[in-house]
Amino acid sequence: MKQIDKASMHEEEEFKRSTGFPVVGVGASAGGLEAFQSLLSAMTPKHAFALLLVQHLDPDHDSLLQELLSKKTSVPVTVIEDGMEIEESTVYIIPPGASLTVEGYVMHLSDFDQPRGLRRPIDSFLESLAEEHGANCVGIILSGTGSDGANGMRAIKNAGGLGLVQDPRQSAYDGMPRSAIDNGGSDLILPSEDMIAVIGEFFDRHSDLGDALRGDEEFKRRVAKHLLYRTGHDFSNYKIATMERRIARRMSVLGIKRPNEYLQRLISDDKEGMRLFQDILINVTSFFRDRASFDTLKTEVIRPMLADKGTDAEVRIWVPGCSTGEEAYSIAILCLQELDRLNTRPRISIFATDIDEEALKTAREGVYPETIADSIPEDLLERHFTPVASGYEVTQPLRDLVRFSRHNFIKDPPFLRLDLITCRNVIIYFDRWLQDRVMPVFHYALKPGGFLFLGPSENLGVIEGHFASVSRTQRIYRRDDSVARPLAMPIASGTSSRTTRRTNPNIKPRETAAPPEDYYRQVMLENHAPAFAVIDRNRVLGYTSGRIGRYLEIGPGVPDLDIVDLARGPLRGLVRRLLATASTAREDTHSLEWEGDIGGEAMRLVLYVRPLRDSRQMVVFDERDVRPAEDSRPVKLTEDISNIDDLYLRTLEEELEEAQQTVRTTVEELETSNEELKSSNEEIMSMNEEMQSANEELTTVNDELRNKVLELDAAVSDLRNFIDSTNIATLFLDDDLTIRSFSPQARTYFRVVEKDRSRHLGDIAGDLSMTDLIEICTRVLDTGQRIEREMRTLDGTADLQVSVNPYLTADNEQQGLVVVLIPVTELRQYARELEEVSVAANRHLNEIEELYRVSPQPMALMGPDLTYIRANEGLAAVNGKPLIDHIGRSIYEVVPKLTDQVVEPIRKVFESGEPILSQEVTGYTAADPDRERQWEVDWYPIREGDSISAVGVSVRDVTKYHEMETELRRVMRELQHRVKNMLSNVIALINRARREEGDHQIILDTLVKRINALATTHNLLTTENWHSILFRDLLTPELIDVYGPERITLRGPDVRLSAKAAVAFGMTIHELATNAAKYGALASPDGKLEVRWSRTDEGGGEMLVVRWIETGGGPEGEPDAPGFGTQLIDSTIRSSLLGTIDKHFDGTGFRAVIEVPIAELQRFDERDGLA
Amino acid sequence: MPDLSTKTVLYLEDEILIGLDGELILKDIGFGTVLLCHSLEAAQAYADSQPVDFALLDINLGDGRTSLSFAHHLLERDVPIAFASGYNRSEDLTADFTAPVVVKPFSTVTIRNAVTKALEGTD
Repeated sequence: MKQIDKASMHEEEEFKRSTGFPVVGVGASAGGLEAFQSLLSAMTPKHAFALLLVQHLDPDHDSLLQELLSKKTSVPVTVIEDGMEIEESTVYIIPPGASLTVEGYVMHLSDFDQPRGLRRPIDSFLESLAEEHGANCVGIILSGTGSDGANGMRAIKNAGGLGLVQDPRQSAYDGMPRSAIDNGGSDLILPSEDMIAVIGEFFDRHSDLGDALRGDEEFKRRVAKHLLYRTGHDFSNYKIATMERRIARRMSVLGIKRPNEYLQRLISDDKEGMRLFQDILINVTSFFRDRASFDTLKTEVIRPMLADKGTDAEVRIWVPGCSTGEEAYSIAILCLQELDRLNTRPRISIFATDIDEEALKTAREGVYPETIADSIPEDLLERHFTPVASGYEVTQPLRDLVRFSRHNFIKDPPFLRLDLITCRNVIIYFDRWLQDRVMPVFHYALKPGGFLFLGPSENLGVIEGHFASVSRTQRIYRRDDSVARPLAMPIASGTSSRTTRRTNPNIKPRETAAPPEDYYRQVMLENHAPAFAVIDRNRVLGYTSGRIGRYLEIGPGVPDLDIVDLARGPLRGLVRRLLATASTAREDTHSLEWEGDIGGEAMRLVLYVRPLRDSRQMVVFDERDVRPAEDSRPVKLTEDISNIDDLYLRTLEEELEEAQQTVRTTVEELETSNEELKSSNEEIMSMNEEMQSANEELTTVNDELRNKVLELDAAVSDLRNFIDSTNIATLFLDDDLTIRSFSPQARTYFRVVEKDRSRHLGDIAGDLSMTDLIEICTRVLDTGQRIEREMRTLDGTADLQVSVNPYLTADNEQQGLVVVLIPVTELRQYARELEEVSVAANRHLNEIEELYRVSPQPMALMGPDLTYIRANEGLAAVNGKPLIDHIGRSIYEVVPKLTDQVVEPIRKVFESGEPILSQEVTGYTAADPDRERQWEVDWYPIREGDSISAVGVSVRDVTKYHEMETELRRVMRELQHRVKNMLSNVIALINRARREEGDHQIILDTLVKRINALATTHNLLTTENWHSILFRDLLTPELIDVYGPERITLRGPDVRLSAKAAVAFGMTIHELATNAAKYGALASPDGKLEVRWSRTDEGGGEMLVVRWIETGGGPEGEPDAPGFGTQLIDSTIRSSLLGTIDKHFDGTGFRAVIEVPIAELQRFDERDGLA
Repeated sequence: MPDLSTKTVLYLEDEILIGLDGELILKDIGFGTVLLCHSLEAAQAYADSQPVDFALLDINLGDGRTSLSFAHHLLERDVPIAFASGYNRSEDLTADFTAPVVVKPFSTVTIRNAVTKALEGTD
């Protein structure tokens, strides 16, 4: 992950800002839940920013965070998903096991690529937030252990965003808050519940201030002055825009709107100056920033720089403004890489300096977050870094190459004789005036042909006055040796406060700041006139007076500025000794007198050495003849002494040097072991951090578990209540049959009380056989199968259904038993009663069924599909089919000839639910296929619920009645006809009588007789039911009954006459008889009548031949005129019966022969007869 | 009432007495000739052998036969007819016919009306 590095940022010096609502990133760990809940409680939907929470979560457990937090606020709480958009007034929380970055307003989740314990999810999140949203974001660190988030907060502040840290006194765990504060990542330290309000106000204010400050130059000048006073650093030539921004920010954080107020604050709060200072200084740097430039550096600078150095040679590199050290280590890595390729190994010294002590501390530690892996190629990372708990640590060889120290290069004298200066973070903040003064310093500090490596957007004009470009695009320059400029130091002016110097207490307070040249001259004037040289602590010449050439000489080859090396001949040892003694002695001046010969010239010298500030010294070569005053008598050295002791001294000096070297080595070794201790310490710390990580996660889990336990308690309570309410005797047993718990109802059967829990079942008394129960339980435990058994209480009063079930946990493990007792006595009783009732009902049902079956009343039950559901024998008889052939058969099958009459009413009844009674059905059934019969049928609905399930049928055979009725009607009609006929006949006789002339009495008498004859015939016919009568019977009443059997003889077969023929023939016989009685044989007592008849057939059909033979009577003549009787006889026999009558009159009597076709006598009218 | 003295009436009645009486009544109302017959055969024989101006037919002829087909026969020969019935309702047997129906026993009046009606129908 790159730090903020955009060229645009440097050129514009505007803080990058995302457009849109601010995004607040919150990091928390152990104890964070509480803190976050109190933070969140102040958030309402009117706060137009989004809150993103990253908490250290145990990836193996689901987090209940969303649930728990949702209850605390009205703002929506959402669990983040990859690709989700950030929305205003919403809280987002990270799911376990993922790391979060933002890209604009979109959130991205990814897996951790570091093992647990080495992760810094809050850092990587806040860094991504700072990069994407710049000044438009807020970083918040809440309770937690460890130091995750400290770097991220710094990044946020550097980007112009706001950093808030929970007050360590309030947080449950103060590790993370304190780390953030210590790392300079906090603008405000406050309780978590106040944070939301502060954020709101900050964003309201911040936009206004920038413009207000822009015109106020006086204010900025005064602030810079104050800063100088407080910190000793002069920011008056820092880029204006930068200063404005940083000041504006501080003012926003403090809630100050007016510049004067802020000035007052600066004065009154001595910490504010430091905070502003820290804010200004916050810059970010990274390894191998601008990769291409480093590549060019490697080939164009490093390589040639190291290439032609021998093993004793020293390569010196200076990195001013090194901040947290990444640049310096980058250069060092390049050097080390290059050394591998060479045979020689020159000594490399890298001096890395900065004014920010905090940054230097980090640089010295050499520990960087794992995010550096993005900037460093893998092979280099592996070679030069060791993975540690919090990221990577530089290896010892790398560390040894760089020396970090506090140095302000705009006012402190520079390092000298440098091969390379790398200054890439600082100059951009300088205004033009300052930049103009810095270049000459660099020029002076570099060796001839030395290189300068700058940052991407330095002011080119200034550079090119002093340097030739090697690669302008990569900002690599080479010292233009032709340019000679005096070094003007110090560049900055001003005073500073003694009391606020945090760092190196050995540094003496500065007095007046005057140009150094003046000072030197001053010293020289006050003390010496002679030639002098100024050297630094390494004995390197910094300054010489003009006549120094007498004493110092530049040797051939590459110039070496070590004064000892430069001293001529015998002066060399002298100078060395002088310097050696000077470093240990306490007096201000040290001197050595010497008399000798240099280059053939006799000389008498007093050498003085005087300490200067910044560990410099002035060496004076006082060539005098006059001896000075007693009080400053120099030590006189003769040549003799010097000759004798020279060797000895030299040896001593060399031994001393060796001793010093040893000391130096020891010191270095001490430093090394110190470093080792440091690393052990750090190892322990990282283990500690790991444990802390785990602890944090556990705490989080614990919080969630606590909540879960509460819920579980509630569930258990519910269960308990449920069991209690079911009123079922229940026992819960363990695997060893001890009682775990029981329902209240269990006490009905068992003598248990609360304290019986954990007692063995066998110790409990109960109403059942406990031994049996235990046996069952044991069996269930063994088999894992439930057993149900009925058991009777010992006193025999109740039956119980005992159910013993294995108790299964949620994972289906068996863990004891559940024994349930349900009293079944009542149940049993009910069952028994039910049984009895059922049997009785069945019996009744059977009786009814039988009744139904055998009832002569034909009955049936029809289903909606017109099939017979049931029927009885009676109906079977009506239908003429066996009963079994009815059931289930369709009515169309059973009584096909009646369906057009019966189907309709059945359907109607089904539909209407109304019975249809006394329907007349006429037709034929199989019982009597030829005889049309009639029935009266009742159809009635059978209800089941709301619908008609069947139609019942009841049938009455009314055929007989019908027939009888028909017959009766016919008879009545016939009777009517007959009576009418009879009356007609009688009226006809009467009419005839009326026409008669003569004696009325005789006429009437005749009439009466005729009517009687008619009546007689009718009587006869009646006895024969008007069907037919025998011929003989016709004759009998008319003849024998009247005249007696002595006079009448009847002889003939049985011949039947139809009713009509009987009446006709009857009348005929009557007339014949009447005639006989009047005129014939029957008129006298002696007369006899014989009637003989027979049947003959002489080819013309069968004839009835009747002979009427009268004898013994008086003479009889044919009546003169044919009377009615004759007419009647003729009409009957001839016209009606189609026969013949032959009459004879002779002396003996009347004789007639009647011949009538039998056919005419036997035309039976089917309407005749009443049978 | 047209002059019946020249007309011959064919009178079919299976009851002897009623027939004889009816014959006299027909003579009373003026028919010149009354051909009385008591069976369909006799009637048929008369109809075939003699011209007939009018026929009075008893509907039911006692042996289950009716005079109806004979009536049709006569009507085809344009002989006006009247029916005599012994039943109150003629049982719709004469539904096909427009001929008048007298109820037996008939009197001079009823028969005269029937004859008039029948003969007018032919005019």
